[in-house]
Amino acid sequence: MSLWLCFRLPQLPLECLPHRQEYPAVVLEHQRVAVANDAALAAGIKPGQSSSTVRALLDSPDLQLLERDRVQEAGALEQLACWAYSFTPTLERWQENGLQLEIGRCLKLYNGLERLVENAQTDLLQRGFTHRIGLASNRYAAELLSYGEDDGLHGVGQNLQERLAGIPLAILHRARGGEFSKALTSLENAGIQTLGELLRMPSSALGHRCGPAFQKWLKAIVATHDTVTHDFQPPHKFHDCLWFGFEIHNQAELHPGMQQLLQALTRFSRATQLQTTCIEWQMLRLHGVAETFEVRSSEAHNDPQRWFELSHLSLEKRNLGTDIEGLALHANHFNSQQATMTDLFGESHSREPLHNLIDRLRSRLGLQAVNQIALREAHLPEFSQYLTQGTAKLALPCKGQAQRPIWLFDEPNPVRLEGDVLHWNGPLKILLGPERLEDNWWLKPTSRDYYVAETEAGQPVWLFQDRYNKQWYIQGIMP
Amino acid sequence: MADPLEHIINRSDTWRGMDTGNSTVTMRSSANSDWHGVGALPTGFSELDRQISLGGWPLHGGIEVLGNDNNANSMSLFLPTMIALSKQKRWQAFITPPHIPYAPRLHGCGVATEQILLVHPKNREERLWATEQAIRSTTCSVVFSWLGSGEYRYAELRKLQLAATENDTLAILFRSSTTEEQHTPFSLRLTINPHRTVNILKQRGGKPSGRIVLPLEDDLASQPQPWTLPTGVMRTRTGQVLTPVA
Repeated sequence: MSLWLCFRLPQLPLECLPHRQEYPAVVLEHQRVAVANDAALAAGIKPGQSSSTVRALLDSPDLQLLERDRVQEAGALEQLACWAYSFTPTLERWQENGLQLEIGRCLKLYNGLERLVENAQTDLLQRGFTHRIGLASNRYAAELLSYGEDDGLHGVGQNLQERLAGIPLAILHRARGGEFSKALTSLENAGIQTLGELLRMPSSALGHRCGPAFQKWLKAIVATHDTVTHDFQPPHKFHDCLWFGFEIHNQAELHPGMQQLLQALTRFSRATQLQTTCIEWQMLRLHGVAETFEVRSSEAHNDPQRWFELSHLSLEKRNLGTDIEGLALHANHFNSQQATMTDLFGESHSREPLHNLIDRLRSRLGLQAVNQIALREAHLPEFSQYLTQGTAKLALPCKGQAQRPIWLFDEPNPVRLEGDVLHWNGPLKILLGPERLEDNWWLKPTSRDYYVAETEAGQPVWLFQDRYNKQWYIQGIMP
Repeated sequence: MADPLEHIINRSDTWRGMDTGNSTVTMRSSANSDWHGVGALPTGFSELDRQISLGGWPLHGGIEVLGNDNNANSMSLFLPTMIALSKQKRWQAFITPPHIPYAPRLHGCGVATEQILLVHPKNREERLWATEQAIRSTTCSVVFSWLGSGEYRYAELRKLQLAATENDTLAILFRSSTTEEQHTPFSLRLTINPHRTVNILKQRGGKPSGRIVLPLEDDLASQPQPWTLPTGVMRTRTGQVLTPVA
């Protein structure tokens, strides 16, 4: 037997639009109230009223009149579907404001129905979505039961027909988007008030009166098994956002939101078996994006704590703009998850992964501040190595490097020649040389005679004479 | 432990300056007594190992190297250490190095150059932060940090020393010799001046040393040294040998 959990989000048209919760807010469609928040309802505004009535009832500068945006609603529902994917792969968007999740097969995983529903409801509330739930063996009944007054969990194990019996026909009107309104109205006129009475009618008479489609629907409502042919396919990108409902004044206020979004990212990547190396944060204003910043990790992972730590470091060095009311998290490039090997007995288990340090340093100091050295096959010392922000590959074998410095100057340092003595922090004494290095003939021919000399303090240095301009330069420090 | 003072004294990183012997508190675990059990890493120079009470670089508590200019000359002292630590396959972090380490040379004598991490913080605060992060994280086998001639408060240095005490990362901090008069929290303080002459100024559980001249043969014995090469060229003044070959 399947078990469907229906989440119905009656306030979705309002909740998917940025607004201030503490002030009255109304969503209008064709100049009529579609949805209103508690503050507006308290002022006497009811769904269906015209916009002029709303203005007459509530003449206040705080009143927020929002135009219904079905694209936003669909987007929000899609995001919720991704969220729900972490519970079960069998799910679908239902009507324009609902989600149906088949949870019969994953109850054990979540330690029972109550625990699962509680987890899901807490998450949804944190995301700011008011919702009603219904549980039944098929999607149609689950939706109908979500209109009930109780918490939706009541009587799940009982006979479905008995649970449905009390539902008034008025609710059935809403259920199928008004498809069977005509038939239902005539049934109501005939004195039938509840679904229970409808189900007790002989099916032949009902079929004759309301048509085969109606009869098929009634059968589906009481079915003990229901399934969809395709599982939900999550998108390849992750987008999620969060509206605080108030203005953010300091960075600490962002932290719970960041953690919540990162949890969502982790759930997404765990469910899709993907990992990312780059996430992008957006600070949202009511209208538009205030600031965007990227957080990178040199290694793909989906550890929310590590991402939070790196994001926190990046955030610290930024000035928080004004009017920030929301936060969005994007991850556009994913790699398939790498299985990590854990060493059971080695001593390395107590150490953190090597890349953690690079990521932490880069998050605070910037990408350019942390480099590795890579080797290149070239004769001139300044070309034989370069700094890289990627991973330095294993070095090539280097031979005959005994008479090379351990420090190389960024630029060769000119040396003064006084009479026949070279001066660099005092007179220099040549110890060894020359060794001729020539290269780069195809571009700017270079020919140098290299020497090892000793400074006054006894420090050996590496210097050369440019054979073209006869100038002397120090290029490095010998060990 | 009721007495908080006793608790502090018995911490393994508390160092008692003077032990009068008639104290009523039993200081079994303070730094003076059990210091010899702590790990050390051979320096690669036998004379230096003999002079350091632990028998090598102390793995905990940090090493402070005082020098002039930018301390670039002190690096050769740690070349054998870098070679030895290459086996650990962890980072060898260089924080604010005065120049770029010349990788072909280092690689040629056995340092795993792919482990070298060059970090260039922009200011003093970032430098302290990066140094502490590198020491504290367990991902580095050694952290070289050039703190330069800047003024650092004792508390700031003590923070680095505590970080170095907590794990087995070798922490080496280069500072200016002008700070010699200042108090230091680190386990070992030495100067290198003139070249290849080490002077231990302070060490925990041991005495200051006299001048230790590092012999060349101890260092990278297998590598031919430039100053052991033909005498004909050596010790000649510049002008005499250096008539450029046209």
